[in-house]
Amino acid sequence: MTHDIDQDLRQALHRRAATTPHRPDLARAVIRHAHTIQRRRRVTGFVTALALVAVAVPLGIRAGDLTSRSSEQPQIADTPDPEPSGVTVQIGDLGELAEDQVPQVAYLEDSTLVVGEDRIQLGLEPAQVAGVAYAGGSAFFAVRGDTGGLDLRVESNAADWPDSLGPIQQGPWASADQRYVAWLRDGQIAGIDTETGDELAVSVGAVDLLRVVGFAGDTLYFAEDRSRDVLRRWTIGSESTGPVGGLEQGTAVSPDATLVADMVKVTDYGTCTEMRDMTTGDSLWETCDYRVLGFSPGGTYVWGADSYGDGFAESYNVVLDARTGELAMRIDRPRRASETTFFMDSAFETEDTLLLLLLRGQQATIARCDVLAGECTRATPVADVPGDPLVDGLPFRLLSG
Amino acid sequence: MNSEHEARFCEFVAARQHALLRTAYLLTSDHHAAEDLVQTALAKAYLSWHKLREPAAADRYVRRIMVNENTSLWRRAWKRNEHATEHLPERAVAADATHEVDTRDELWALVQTLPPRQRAAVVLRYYEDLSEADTAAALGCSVGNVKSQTSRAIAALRGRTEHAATHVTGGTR
Repeated sequence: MTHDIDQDLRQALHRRAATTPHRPDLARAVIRHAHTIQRRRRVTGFVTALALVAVAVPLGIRAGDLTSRSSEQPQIADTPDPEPSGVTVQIGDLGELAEDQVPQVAYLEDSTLVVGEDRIQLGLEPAQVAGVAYAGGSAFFAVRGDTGGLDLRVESNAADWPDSLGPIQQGPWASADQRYVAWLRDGQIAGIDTETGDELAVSVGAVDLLRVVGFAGDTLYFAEDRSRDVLRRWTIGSESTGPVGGLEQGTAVSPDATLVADMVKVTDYGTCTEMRDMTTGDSLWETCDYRVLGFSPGGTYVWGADSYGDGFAESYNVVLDARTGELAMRIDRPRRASETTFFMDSAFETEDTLLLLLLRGQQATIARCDVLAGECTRATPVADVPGDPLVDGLPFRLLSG
Repeated sequence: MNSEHEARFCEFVAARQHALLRTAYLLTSDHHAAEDLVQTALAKAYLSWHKLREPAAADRYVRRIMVNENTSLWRRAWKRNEHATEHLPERAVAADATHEVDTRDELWALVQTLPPRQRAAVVLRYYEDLSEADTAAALGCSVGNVKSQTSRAIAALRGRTEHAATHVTGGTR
């Protein structure tokens, strides 16, 4: 064999790929398949609704009660547009949103971390910044090097940190109270207490990627992003991690670590999520309409999106009551607009306001949606997006941690 | 979907289906599974066609669904106890040490033993010739992670091919 494995590998793959037989035009078959998926979603939703009514009417139970009491495995009922009971706000032209004050939590504008009046310059192109966390008045950010590796750096107007904390694999993540920061490095999760400067680490083995679903106080909740999604917790300073039992796939942990959203069912057509009490393990409610993606700071609400997520932005966002699952607000796009509004990311700003990073055409902005008022405003100017958002990044970024 | 969008979708499928089938075959090792994967990915793309603004975006989108879908299938198989392995298995070596090993067949056999995300990274980088940034976009991870997935895969492939060659040629034991 040659020592040029790259070349051999290319040839091996091309030779194998060339054995693929030509198929007749798949378009019509694909469209039929797509319509079948749509019909199946609607039929499943209709049958589930009928079943609920059939049981609820004789018993005089409201549908909301049934949902929270049912111990049956939930059914996928992910009609693309579940009928909301809360307020729906449609966002089309970003420039038409009423101008409002800037976000009151840390966010990234180009390569400047903005926190109220404080502006921390990172001095980088947006695409170079792989991740940012704000804690202890400082910006911890991962910088992409020319070779693809990440370097963890710190910029601060308030504290004295070394410029670089060395290479990392993934992160950083900040705790909900903005005291702790953690990252993945060489098979270890390392965490730093910004008040004391102490850095502590725990081994997690040879993992490439973690899925962090919550950072409550000094405890990080995470899963290995590979074969099995066992949710684990690590309290900074402890010598080992521990599993969070009884879950299928945790997707979000409340900032006070009392609630966890558990994705209990995944199919080709959608997902079902149960909200569980972390202490008792009790299921509080379940939904097959939405995925739950994050909590408000006090745990009153969660934000979520369509139960089927393809990893390519969201078509709409919802805010649900964290304890009951009741829909409080839906933020959507106009159905027949010439341009689609993409919901790129969201994060709660206060207990009742959700910030949404929006992309429409070649423009982006951060919107603020007030759950109590049932309206959305614009928290940043509308900025042009010069390149491909997936590759070149956006002019704004929300910090989820 | 209106007729204009549907026409654009059909044009896209006609232009790209064979390339997608080839990539899907490299991800699945099975022509029928590859066709299922492409059909499912395209059907989901059809339902989300409003999100896509130009053909390049559609291509990236379908590729991403294919990779995610394939990883999900693998995960579901794992939960059914059909475990693939992070560690490359010991493979039977031809008893006749003079038998000429076809390196490319050997490599393909080893590619099939890689964990799904490493395999996807290898297929996208070495077959599709995607940049690291585009591969990261398709896999939904960072460029650094693409680097690590790819380098682990290559290291594993190199280790196994050298191991096999050593045994076949009766080299060091």
